[in-house]
Amino acid sequence: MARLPPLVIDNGTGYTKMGFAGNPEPSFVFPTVIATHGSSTSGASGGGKSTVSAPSRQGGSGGPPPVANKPGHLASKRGIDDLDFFIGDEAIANSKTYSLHYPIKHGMVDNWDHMERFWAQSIFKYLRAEPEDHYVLLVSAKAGRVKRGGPTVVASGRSEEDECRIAGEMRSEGGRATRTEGRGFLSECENQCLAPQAESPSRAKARIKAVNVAYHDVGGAFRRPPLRGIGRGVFATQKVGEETSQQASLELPVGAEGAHVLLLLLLRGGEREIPCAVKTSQAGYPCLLDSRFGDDRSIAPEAGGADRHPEGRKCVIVDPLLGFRLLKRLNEAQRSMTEPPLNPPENRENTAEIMFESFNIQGLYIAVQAVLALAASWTSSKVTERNLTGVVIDSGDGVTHTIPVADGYVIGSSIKHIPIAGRNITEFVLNLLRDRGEQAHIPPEDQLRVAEKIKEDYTYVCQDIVKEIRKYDTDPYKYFARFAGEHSVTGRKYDIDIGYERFLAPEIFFNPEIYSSDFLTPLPEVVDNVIQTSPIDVRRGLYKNIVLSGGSTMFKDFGRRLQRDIKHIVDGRIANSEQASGNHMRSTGVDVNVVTHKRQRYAVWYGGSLMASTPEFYNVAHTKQQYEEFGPSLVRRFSVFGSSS
Amino acid sequence: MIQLENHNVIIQNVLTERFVKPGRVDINFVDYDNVRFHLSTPTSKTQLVLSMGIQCWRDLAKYGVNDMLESEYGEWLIRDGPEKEQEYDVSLMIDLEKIPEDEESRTSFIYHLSMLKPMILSAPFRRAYETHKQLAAAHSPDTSSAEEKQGDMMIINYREEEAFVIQSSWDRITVYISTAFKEETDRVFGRVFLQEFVDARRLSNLQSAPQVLYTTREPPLELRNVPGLKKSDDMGYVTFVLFPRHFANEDIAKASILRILTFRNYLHYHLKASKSYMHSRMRIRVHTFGQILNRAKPEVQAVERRTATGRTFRSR
Repeated sequence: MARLPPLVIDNGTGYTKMGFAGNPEPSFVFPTVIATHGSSTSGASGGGKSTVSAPSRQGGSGGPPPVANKPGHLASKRGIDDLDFFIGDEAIANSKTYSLHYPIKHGMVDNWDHMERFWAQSIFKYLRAEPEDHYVLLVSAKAGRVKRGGPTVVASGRSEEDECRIAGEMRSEGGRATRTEGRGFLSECENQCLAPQAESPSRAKARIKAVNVAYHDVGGAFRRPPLRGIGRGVFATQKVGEETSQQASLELPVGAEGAHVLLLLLLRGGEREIPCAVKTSQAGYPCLLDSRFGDDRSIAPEAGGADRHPEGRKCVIVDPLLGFRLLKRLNEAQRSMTEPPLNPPENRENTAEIMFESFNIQGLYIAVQAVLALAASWTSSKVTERNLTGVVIDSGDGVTHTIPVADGYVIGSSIKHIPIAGRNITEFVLNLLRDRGEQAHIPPEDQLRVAEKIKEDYTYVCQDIVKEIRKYDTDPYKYFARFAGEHSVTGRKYDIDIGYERFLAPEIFFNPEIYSSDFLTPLPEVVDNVIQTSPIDVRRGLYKNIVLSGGSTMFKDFGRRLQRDIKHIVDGRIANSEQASGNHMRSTGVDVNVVTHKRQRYAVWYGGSLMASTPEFYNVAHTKQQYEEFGPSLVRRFSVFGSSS
Repeated sequence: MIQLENHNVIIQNVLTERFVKPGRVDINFVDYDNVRFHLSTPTSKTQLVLSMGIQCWRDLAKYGVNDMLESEYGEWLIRDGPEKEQEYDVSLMIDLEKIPEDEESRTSFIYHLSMLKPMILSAPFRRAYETHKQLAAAHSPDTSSAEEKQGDMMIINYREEEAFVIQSSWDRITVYISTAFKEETDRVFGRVFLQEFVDARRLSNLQSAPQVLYTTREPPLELRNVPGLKKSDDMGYVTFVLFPRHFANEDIAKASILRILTFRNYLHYHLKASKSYMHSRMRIRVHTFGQILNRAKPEVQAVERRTATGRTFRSR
């Protein structure tokens, strides 16, 4: 008998996409919502035992979970309340008599009871698959193992070889004790940084004065016993001409030289400590990487030269961007409090538990969204090699994410979220229509629908906004489009002109100031920033493979414009640094490549479908036997597959 | 959701969409009981080919599935030939230029197509009805019970290790369904569940329901001679005895066939749902225990930690 295709299920915060591996599109796309009967939830919000919140939930957000009513001992009295629910579109259709719950919040499963029932119905009612016969590929937004570090652990040395080695080691799963320790220490610092009671950056800035230096041996484990401890340092701000530069002087103990010592600057930023990383070179001098592209600025030893400091102890870090970057870390730390950057492994364990114990599935693979989006881009003719390094720009309805991925591992700390996405574009189209007085022709109840239609069918990205406006002004008859609508209730026909919104709508990605003053960084700049905050050894790869995913990236020429703008930024930076070197150094240039493809709308699901239909999938998926052998902790292990490199 | 639906939702969705707006399609999907579907447009956008592969095709072919297909889907059926898709057992060609015009008959046509799998599986049941009719006609009250004739045993191996067996006689049709429980937990739940079935039959309002018997491990005695039945702890056997009132007219007969066809999946769906229910109860219980433990926690004295140089940490 032929093997039945694996199920591919992508449970997003908003929509669930599911279907069978090997298909180009998901078979079902519906809201991730479950409608349970009032009685079972009223029991939950009432008093008594049922008000408890499930222990598995993280952070304690959200209300109490619904709890099935306490059953009687008689079978006939037990009832079947727990089966009385709807999911997806049917749930919304029944929202009058049932109460709606969203089991996933901010990309994390919020209520496991609901999620379990949601899965049960999606498999049995919609996919009509006997789970015992299938493998499952689940996508969870942040379920991936996130590569710790990123900008916080900018491990850079003078020799490129070292640097790659360290970066590689940090990326690989900690097999040796010391490495794991290093990871633990880092995450400890990060956790401290994520603690509540945030301060405003400006106040923190004022308070950054003293530096405590924590160092930890990462790479030199086999040469000497691991070092761990706290050193001393001073943080100073200096004004040199127009630019302010921050200095941190560090004092290292004897024995630290020669090892790849990873330093963490724990800045006392008021209430919190912010890790920032420095690595000593072979000679024992810390060097800090300048975040600007391609410029590996190392730190000069104080009073120059290792020979004059035989112990190699004192060194000064001069970095104009140090303070700025630390502040940025602080900002990030604050932001991440509302949205945790990592999906705790416990969540994955719970998922595995449900899938294997409740549904007896044959095998499970929990995939990372961004990685699947990368895999989906392999369909593009532009992509020649199948690698899993790249930046994913995922723009759906609510938020746009920029996620850098190196060799299949997400660089968690460099992820950026942009509050501009599909919904905002629709809104902006509506605004423009209102400004031109066209809105008056559209019946109020249809406005949103019409704006959406215009956004989907008529818009494109222009290459030069000024030229485009001039073009429209000189020959409006040629460029203005006409939209014929019909009143959804009365059936009355109406016509509206579609003008500048055709190219202005997606323009808010590139010039956000035309839409709102809340968020002003253009998308190309954000992407560039994301890459610049990623480890230096992957940056070239990231520039080379910028992948689009999600419905709001499907505008015509979106990729081309993005590529041009990023290229512009990068070229400008290269020219600058060439000039700064006194024109002695010539750069070979950086490839910037934005990949567009046909499956962008459901790219993540499609990537999952693609990967699950390879024979390799069965080797990397965790099977039921393995689950029974190791238990749920099995899913903490994570293997990347599918890339040819 | 208590009952599973009979029709395939994907076929219904895709066809509804394509009937309005023809377009290319090429999708693979499944249904219960190891059924594989392939819906594609190999030649042109208006010609959809729906193919279905089923594990027990050979068994079904013995019991008249081809006649059934001729009568139900004859107009659309692709007979054996190069056009028929390899690897699949049945192929239907739906020409979008020949479909009914009005909304209502379209909907019922789509529903009819989405019922392809239960239709195919119902072929042996139809044959059993026929046999029953013949036997009942031939039967006379003075025949002694020893000479009573019974129809052939129709064995359909619808899944690996699992089969259903239909036998008709002059006064009833007996359906034996075997199912395997892969998990220890499922086995326990399954036993309770099947027992419940037998118990529920005793309720006064369910007197007209077919008789249900179940055994675990050992197949019922009637099936002693049937080859290929596994004897192990994880097998369960359910027997339904259908009396003439359960197939008195076309509609009732159809309904009872569909119920029996979904029974195995219905059972397994409910096992899984019961487990989900148990899990949610466990989650609550664990949490209340956690709360009790939290109350019992002694307060931890904050100890000041110092480094060698005498500096202190501030922990938050």
